[in-house]
Amino acid sequence: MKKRIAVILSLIAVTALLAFIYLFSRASVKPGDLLIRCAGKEITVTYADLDKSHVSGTVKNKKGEVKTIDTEGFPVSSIPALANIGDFSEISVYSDDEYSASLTSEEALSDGKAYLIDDDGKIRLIVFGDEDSKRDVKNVVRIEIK
Amino acid sequence: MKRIKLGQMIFMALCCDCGLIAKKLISPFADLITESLHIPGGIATGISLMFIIVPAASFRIFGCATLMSVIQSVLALSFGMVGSMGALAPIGYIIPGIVIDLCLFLFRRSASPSSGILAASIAASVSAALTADILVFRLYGIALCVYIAVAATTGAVCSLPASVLAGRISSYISDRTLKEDVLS
Repeated sequence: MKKRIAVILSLIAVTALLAFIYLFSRASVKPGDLLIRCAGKEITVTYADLDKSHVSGTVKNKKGEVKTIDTEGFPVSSIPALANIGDFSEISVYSDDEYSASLTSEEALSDGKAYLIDDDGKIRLIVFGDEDSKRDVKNVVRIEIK
Repeated sequence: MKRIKLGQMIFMALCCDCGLIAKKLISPFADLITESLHIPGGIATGISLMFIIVPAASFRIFGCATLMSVIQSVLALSFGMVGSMGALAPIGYIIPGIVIDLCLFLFRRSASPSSGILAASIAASVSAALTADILVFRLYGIALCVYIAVAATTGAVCSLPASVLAGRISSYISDRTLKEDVLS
């Protein structure tokens, strides 16, 4: 019993230490802001200030159910221009919990493929044409252009 | 392979359901912790795996955890409780089941059966977290380390009630070794 308690306490201590390092090393982003990283540069933009366009279409959730989207959104194809980037191979979109989805340059630049939309005050990535919702990233805080 | 008795099967089926329900019930509370740590999960699954470990450790039947995890994955798919893994959810259920069986098999001659439960609980939680990471989350670096550490800690903590429950159940199946170990 004592050994088990020692193992559990050791694991709690290791977890606390790792969490401390992780929480203090990650870049903090204000709610409603987006951190764009590219080639060593970091740019912070406010989602509310971006020029949005009308977004409509259908997406599938993880259960395969079809959901209709009809809202305003910022096209992912315009993100490289925000950071003054011409050539890139991939755009990775990260949520607050580090869940991420990537779009190739062809996908990112194609019109009407992917958008950042407002989802109850949080930014969400939607990708049209996907067979599942793996690239449906909720609470987007960071975008990396590679 | 030992034959599974009807009573054991009923208990295993009950535990499969309990595991799924526990996961659903605990998720809102677990999310509070994981959201504050900025990781996508790692707690609720560890708690639900406890309900697979208890019968597997009590009955000492190799393959029990794997069988339960297969049943749990079928139930999860039927009820639409697929989480973030979607159609790949069965993989996320079955791999920890196999890991539990292997751990309990490796620790079958251990002087303290609770050590096997502890190892199985930690290994199963970590394997579930790694499976979810490979299939869905794709975390790396320090975020992955925190995610795995949280899963391992949850598994370790859950091994305590799992040991007690397995000890209590063992009294009904005349497994005195486990019972004495837990009560000592």
